[in-house]
Amino acid sequence: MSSHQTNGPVNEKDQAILQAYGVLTALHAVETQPALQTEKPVLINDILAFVKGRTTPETARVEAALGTNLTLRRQYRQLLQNKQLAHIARPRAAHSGDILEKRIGEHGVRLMLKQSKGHEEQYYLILELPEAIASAQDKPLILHANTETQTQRAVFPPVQDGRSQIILSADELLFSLLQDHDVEIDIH
Amino acid sequence: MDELNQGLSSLVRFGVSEQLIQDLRAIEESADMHGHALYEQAAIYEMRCAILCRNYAKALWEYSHFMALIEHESDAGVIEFFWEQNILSSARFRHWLAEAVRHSHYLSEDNGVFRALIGKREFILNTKRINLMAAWTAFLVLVEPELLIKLQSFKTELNEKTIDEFSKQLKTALDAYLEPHLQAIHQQRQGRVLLTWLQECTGQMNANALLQDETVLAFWQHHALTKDGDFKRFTTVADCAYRLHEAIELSDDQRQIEGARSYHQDQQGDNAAWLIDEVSQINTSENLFDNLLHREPVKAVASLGKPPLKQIKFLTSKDAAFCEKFELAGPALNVLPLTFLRAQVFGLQQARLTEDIRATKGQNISKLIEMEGLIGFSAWQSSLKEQLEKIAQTRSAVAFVLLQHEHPVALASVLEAFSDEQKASLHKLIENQSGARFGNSLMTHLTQLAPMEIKRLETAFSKVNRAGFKTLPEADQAENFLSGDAHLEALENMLHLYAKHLANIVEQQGDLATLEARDATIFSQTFALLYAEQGVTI
Repeated sequence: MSSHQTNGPVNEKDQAILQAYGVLTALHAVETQPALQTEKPVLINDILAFVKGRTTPETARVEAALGTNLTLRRQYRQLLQNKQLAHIARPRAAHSGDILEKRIGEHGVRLMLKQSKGHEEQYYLILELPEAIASAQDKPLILHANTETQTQRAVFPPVQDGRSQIILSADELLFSLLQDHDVEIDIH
Repeated sequence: MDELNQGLSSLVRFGVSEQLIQDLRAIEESADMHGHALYEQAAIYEMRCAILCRNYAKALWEYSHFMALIEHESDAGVIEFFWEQNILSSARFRHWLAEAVRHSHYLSEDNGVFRALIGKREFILNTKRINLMAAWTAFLVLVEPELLIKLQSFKTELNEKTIDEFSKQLKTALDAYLEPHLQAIHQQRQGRVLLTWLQECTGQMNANALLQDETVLAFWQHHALTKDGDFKRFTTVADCAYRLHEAIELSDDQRQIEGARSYHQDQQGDNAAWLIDEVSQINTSENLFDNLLHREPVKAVASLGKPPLKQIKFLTSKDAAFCEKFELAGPALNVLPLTFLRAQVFGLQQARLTEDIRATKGQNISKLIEMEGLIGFSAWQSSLKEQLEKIAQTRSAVAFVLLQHEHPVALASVLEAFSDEQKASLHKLIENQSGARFGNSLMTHLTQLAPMEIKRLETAFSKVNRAGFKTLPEADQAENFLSGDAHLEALENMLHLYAKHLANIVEQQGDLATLEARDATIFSQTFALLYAEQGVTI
């Protein structure tokens, strides 16, 4: 409600300070208030890094975006299918309330959950590959577990004697996802 | 580009959406696992220029050839090729090509030059372009989510037709994608024509100095009869000049921010902090803050037309239309005051001319060309004055509403208007009563101390006989009145400032009647060239 002020000539000192003030205010706004309506995109190389099991500063963002962005999810699925080592389809029938102990996929690939004897909360997640596949693998393996909306991955050490394993805690998201009867598993 | 032509650079930057800026920045900042940038600056620069200037048809054609060959010749496909095998540099691509040539039907090498022979077409693979191709892929996947699937068609088949088709599809997808992210294509073209002409005509490259009322008028006279960008209507030229001015201003701001950011990073903010301190030490300078105020973008009319303010008729439709023209002109108003005035006065006459051709096949053309019935500069200036009075009256009515609900802002406003004597009387009253008691009877005291001022506000309220002002609104509406008043104040300031700039120009160049007579001759001559012959295209 202030009354209108006249706009007389601005002297040089005022002009310089005016500019400095304008720039600094804008800079402050840029630094403290990131634009709300724009979203940093998830790039295809970030999705590929996720598929290949690499952890980058973008990994968390990729994981979150895969749960909400259908386009990204389709691209992720396409990259998963490329050079895929094995695929374990959804179980044909819902299992009972017990822990799902074994999954068998294409070419006889097997995924097993075995409870630790020492620590009841821990499970061994064991990956068994048939000879034909295992002999060609000397790199870490990446397991991707996917339902319609959730994605989890785990990195297995290189196979030895056709077998590789990791320890999984019962409270991990991957553990519960492996119990989901909608889960599909891809091994890279 | 900045070094070559800062004006054109400003134009290209103007109207680019935040999202597109963000997307391009994300690609530019992509790094490998060691933190090194994935893409060369030159590649990012070339791609950004192509996108922002909508000049990418050739780039996409080249891109399509690279992608077709890589997808066909590489086991892993394009995505793994770039970001798993890390073939992002010329050396690595050259190495890969040297291997691929051995078993490829399409590739050949001659003295270190790699060629692809696809059908009857020979395509030379410039290995230095590979980094740019990767950057394009990162961007085009955002544009065309099905890109990976489309690329797969090259796995089995490679011919000129499918490559050209792929290139066309990419261009169509990119055209559509950029539509909401860039300034409209015709506006971009119009701006470029105006800027180039101004630079050539004046020999001046400093974009800020180019835009003047007389150069804009000269541009219109020169271009009204040409086909470039459809500049027949003076209002089109004026709008184009406003946008160009805004583009230059925004771009200057961006450069300052970029400069300040790098300075800030270099100096850990010490100097920036010093400058802020310096600013805070300045006594309130009305000139300084007036200028700051007027650099803020105004969207007052639009805000007043939206709920919840819409239910209060702060402006009539006619007022809103009048004020909206000022808002659309934006900051250019004060740089091109005569252009704005000409657009309102002669722009309206031109609209009447074209309407006459449409409605009566030009029966009144000669009269209109002779400026018969022209609502001249003085008449328009009077309507500006009336508009200002109307806004002031509405603001007084708002103050009365707020005062009735004892809103502190309205009370402060009334107190500001008090004379020293009135203030002294009020102080005495405060001294003689406890704070709480005085607060309860403040309104009564104000009415006693400044009966004329309160009466003025009350009269204004009774005269503004529009929705929201017919009866005294409920207290819960006070905040809406306050918000509405802030928008009215912004409009009032804008109109006042414009009126002052116009008055200065009139003072410098004679009087309004002389200015109008001179302009009428110029417009009349150009209108005659444009419309004197019936059946001319409008």
